[in-house]
Amino acid sequence: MKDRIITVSVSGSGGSGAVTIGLILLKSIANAGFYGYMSRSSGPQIRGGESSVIVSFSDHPVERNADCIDLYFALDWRGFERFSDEIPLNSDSCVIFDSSHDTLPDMVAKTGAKIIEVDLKEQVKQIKGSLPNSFAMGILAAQIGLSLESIFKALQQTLHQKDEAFMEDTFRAIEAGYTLLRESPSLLSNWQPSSQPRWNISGNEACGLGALRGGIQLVAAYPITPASDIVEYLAPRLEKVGGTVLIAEDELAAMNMVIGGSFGGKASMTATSGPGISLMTEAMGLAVASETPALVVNVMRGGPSTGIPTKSEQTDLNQALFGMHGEAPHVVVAPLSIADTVSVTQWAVGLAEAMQILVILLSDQRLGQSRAIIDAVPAKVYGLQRKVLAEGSAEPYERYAVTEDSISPMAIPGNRQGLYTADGLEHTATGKPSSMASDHLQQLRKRESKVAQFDYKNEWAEILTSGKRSRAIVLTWGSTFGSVKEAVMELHREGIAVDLLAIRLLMPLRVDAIKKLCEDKQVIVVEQSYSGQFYHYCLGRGAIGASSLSLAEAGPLMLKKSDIKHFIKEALI
Amino acid sequence: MRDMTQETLTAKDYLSDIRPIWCPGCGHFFILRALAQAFAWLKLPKEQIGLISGIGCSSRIPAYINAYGFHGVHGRALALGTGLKAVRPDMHVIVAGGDGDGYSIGGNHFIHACRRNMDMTYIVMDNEVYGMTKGQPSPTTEPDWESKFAPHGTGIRTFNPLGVALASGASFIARGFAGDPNGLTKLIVEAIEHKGFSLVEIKSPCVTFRPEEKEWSKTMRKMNVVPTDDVVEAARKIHSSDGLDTGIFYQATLPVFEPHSTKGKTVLDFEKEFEV
Repeated sequence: MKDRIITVSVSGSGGSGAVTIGLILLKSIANAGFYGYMSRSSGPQIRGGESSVIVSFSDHPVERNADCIDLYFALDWRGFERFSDEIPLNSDSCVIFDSSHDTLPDMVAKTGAKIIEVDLKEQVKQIKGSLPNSFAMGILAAQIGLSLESIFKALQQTLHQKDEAFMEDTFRAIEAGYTLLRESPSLLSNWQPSSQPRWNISGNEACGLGALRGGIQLVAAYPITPASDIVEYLAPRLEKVGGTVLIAEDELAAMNMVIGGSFGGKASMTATSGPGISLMTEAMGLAVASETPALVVNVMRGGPSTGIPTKSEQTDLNQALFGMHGEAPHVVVAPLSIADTVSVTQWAVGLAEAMQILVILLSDQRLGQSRAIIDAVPAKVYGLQRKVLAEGSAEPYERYAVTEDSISPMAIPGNRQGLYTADGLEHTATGKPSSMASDHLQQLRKRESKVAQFDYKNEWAEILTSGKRSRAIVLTWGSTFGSVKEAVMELHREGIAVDLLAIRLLMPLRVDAIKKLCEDKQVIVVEQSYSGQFYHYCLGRGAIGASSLSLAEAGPLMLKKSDIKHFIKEALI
Repeated sequence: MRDMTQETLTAKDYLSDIRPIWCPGCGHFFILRALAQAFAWLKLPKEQIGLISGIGCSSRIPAYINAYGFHGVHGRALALGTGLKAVRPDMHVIVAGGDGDGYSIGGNHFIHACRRNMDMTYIVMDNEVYGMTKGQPSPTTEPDWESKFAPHGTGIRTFNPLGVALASGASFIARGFAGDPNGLTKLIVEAIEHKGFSLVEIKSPCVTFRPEEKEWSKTMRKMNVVPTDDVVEAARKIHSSDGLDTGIFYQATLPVFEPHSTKGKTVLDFEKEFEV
């Protein structure tokens, strides 16, 4: 609470309404003029089991959950042990639970948290048609200091389809819950409401919006957790801006459909997760070899195999970098936050189109399925377009002609002068299949060089310097950025100078630029993987030195700000 | 479908100058010729043809046709063609390949392309063997055909592509023979003109690894019947045939999948949904 972040968690068995409370809380916070961030977690069964939400909010943009829970409401204790390591409680926490059918678990009592018991069964009896979670909502709002008005407004926005009598009973129950406990001082009293235009958006929606901004016209996909929300966001919208969503029979089909659509002249993408990427990998190589633009979004989850489908990990990095057979130059990018996902996805579409190449965008379950109140993200102009063969161009046409920037004009079917056959076989400049060493070398060079010499501008990384001469620099990527940034900013406030380099462009790695930023500094690489994939990648490419340190932790738990801070401090001793 | 504004093109105009890799006497030469004849007969503008293939001897065909083509990965040609057709309904999408490509590694896409019934034509050049990898048994190889890969034969019954296509929802199902160029051209023309997913399964002898298939020129026969749109009748015809009958087994008007996209909104409209 010191850094003006309040973190509230709610959990309960399936259907208890924990997620709904989280969504309404987040909206209420937005209505009150503040920022928030909500992550959610469920058991491995995805549907029908226990679920929990953690909502952090503040008067400044916040894109991670705090290390500890301030206020926790257990609608019931069923399945609590599955979440217990994701809901860190300590003696500063306040725990409220429904005592009508449960007793306090020992593991919670041991945390030393302040405990408040409420009998929700008794409350429900007093207002007919009410539900326990409505009282919980009211209790939480009062404890936080949110006005009833902001809650009611959020409720109307969320439950607009419900009937009037139900709404009335719900309002009464919330009101009753609001006055149930002894009045506590508002936690929001010193907060400044924002007057900025703000959005309520999830990471997967942000990806969908970025795709629309980038001009995607075809999405082909097969359902998979946690990526399906992207397709579900796009399905009703893309068709209204002239595009199409194809339901593929499997991921192999999805990737090939993307290539077919792109060959037809339309920016195309798919969204999947690790197992889907494994199935798409052969066709991803086809996009590289045939120089067909394609965007593949991987919302990463725990692996290997089916792994942990509902939770986050940054462990598909090696797969994204090195998954394809042969030498297959391509681009790998990763957004750093929900807001960043909008722009990075738009950028990724542009990169694929402009370079006629495969771009893999690595998001993860934490980024994708979390929801936040953020400042509206303005559309960017990247000026990245496909280089297309003009109608009426002089013949003969060479599809894979070697040019100065190694990008050859692509003929779009319908153009009389551009007849060609795209090929996954090695080919000559005209596209004719060839196994000649000289043709292979020419085309290898061309494909490598277009990626290597492309101007990625300043988008390649986010750089945060202390303003003073720093002794250390922290390298990170993806959703881990949220915790690392908070840790580094706290160190700055403590007068410890540390730089932060968060990399969006993972391939091609800007080795020289990274080297320059890391010069004479202790390098610390932070990531959410067991084996330190990112650390070894940077080391292997020579971007960082052998004395660099690795803070790598397996998912699905988010790296804690306090642990990162501690690690950096230790490294500086 | 005929475009009268085009200059008159002959079959030769649709052939590229790349020489096929096929063995002398291969049935695929006749299919290539019949395909070019069909294009010429229909007067299809070359730039409006998308010829999509996978991997195998037959899948080399896009390079030999003067049009837009895509030689993709093994078994996925139908998916690639589906993507193209979805964004470019104006294109004539022809997917071509072999029995292994279409019925084995690509079997799932075959089923779902039939189900989707998009307006495209699928030409399978079936020689009952993997030729490019030198003579392994394919899904249409008889169970007792002995090879290095399967010294005692596969012991697995043959795949029935026409039956599977019918059960899956294809709306045009035909069998042709490479040794009957005129009949084949006519079948391909009718398949392209058909609105919906059309399968033309063509028996095409592999003279190198299945020299016995040369006998097909004596045994294949024309089926002199009117195509039916009755599924039960078609099923009876398909399942009672010994595999040597050529002709259209089934042709029906069925719902065709085509994306219904409009241009009523802009991205800005969607951004408003996020506003607090």
